[in-house]
Amino acid sequence: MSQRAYRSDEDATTSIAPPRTDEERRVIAALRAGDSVVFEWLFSSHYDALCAFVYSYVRSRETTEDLVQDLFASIWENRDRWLPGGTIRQYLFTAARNRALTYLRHEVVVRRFEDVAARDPVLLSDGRMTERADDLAHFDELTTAFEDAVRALPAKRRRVLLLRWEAQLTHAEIAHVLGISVKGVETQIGRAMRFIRERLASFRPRG
Amino acid sequence: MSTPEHDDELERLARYAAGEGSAEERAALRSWIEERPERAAIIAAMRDVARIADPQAAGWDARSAWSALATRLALPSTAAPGPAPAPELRTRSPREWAPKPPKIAFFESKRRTRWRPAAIATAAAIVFMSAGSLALWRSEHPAPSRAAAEQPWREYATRRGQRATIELLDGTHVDLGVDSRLRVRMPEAGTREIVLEGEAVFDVAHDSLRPLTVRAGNALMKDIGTRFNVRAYPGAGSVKVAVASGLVQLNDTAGAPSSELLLAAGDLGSINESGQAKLRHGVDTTQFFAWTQGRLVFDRTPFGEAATRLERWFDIEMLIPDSSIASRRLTATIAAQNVEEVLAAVTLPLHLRYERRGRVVVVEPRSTGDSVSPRGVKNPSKDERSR
Repeated sequence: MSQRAYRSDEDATTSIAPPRTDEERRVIAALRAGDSVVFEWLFSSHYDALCAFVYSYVRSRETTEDLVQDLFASIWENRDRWLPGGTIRQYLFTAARNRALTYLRHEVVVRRFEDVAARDPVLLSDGRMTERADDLAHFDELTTAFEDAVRALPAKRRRVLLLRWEAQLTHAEIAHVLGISVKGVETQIGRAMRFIRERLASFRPRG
Repeated sequence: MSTPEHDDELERLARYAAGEGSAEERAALRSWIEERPERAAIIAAMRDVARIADPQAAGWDARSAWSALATRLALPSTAAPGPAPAPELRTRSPREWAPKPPKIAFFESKRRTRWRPAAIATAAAIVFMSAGSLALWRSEHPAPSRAAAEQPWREYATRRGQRATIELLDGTHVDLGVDSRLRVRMPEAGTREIVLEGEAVFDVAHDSLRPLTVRAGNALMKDIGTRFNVRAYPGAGSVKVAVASGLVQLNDTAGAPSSELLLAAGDLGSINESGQAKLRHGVDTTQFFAWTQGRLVFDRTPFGEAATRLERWFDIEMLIPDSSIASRRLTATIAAQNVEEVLAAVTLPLHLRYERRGRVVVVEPRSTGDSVSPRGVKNPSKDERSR
């Protein structure tokens, strides 16, 4: 693990500390004691959401998998000192984001990333995306309208929804992970919701 | 037909998706969602925003990623993937129990096929391990006990989607079901005590000097050397005890003599919340033991109840907007390893279809418009048919 990458994880630990639950305390204690079963639990119960989140930055599956693996490897290698300042998932998502941003800075892919990000709404609403609708039976067109609305959201706002709905982070956790204020998170979510609501309002089911 | 265009409606769906609220609030919200199929569908989509935006953002293979990481860090491989092997049914002599550490092994049901959903805040109970691969820790709130021995309680727990087999110190073998907790206290002399929440099959090493009691909800069992299953999930309304061999004495915890039952092989005893005991002889008890071999057996089980079992077994969330479905009866024996196969096996015979997105499964009548009437009014003929 490079010195730089590890330091960026540590940033994730300094934060306002919400009261830690018993469960979290025990997980941390067990991990510090070198319990690999708890470590596996931590890994497998956060892996998918972390990958989805990291992918939203780096846009490469291979890089995503490497970054998330590095993150967990570094936790394990430094387990005896591991003490997240906030909740565990807040730590994981913050550290994941730091690693993604470090990667983007260092791999000189920044420009490419920005290009992709700028094109994002267009890219994501082209035909490639609608293909998958075929292999999933849709309950009704409302779902499709909802999905279209989600796709039309700016990538940043969608990322907030990912953290909120898929990873089920609290507003405060999201604020910490993304380095913005809680108010900012609420604004982002409020705008996303308003946008989706408008899209759905204009949608009228047949009949 | 209204849509979630209502401010409040979308807001409530979002709150549910984000996992907010107390258990009661969520239960209320959930039945509200189940009133309308489109609400359930939106919830499923909310839990899937990453994939909706870009299919490449989903479908991660955590299992191989873990193997790679475990290799890199030279970690022991712990959780056994795939179905549980058939448990060995050994008969143990009473004195065989040696003071060896309990052994525990975990099994995960395979929820994922093509892609893996996010399951962050869903672990109902976490399994904590002390040194080695033992899943035990000292409980901070031990159950009240008459024998106030200073013996520590050991606690074992499984998450949803996870089972475990445990060899206790006295040689008693326990298959602990999904989403279950077990507390054990085994003093050197005197009563061996077990407290269960959830489901477990006990294969008890008999010891006349150290009787074994199992407490589950308001049911109290005394074993007389036997193999039996206890199903005691909170909220199920009753504790069920099925016996494969030997004898089990069943009481309610209040100890009313009227409620005492002596159960033998093939008996199914139950105690409801008000302490009333019921006994059925000659029951096909397979459905209570098959799960230890990775099979789920349903015998005229209401679909709603079957859905609850599947939720725990695979750690999924089954939304059933048409409540008439919940009362349809399901009879099936399923090798419960692959979530897609199982969902197909339980929905097809009942003329249902399902859509799965990650953890969320929405179940509906096979052809749309066949029974989901616009305002969510139940089709009475469906109810009739299921009786």
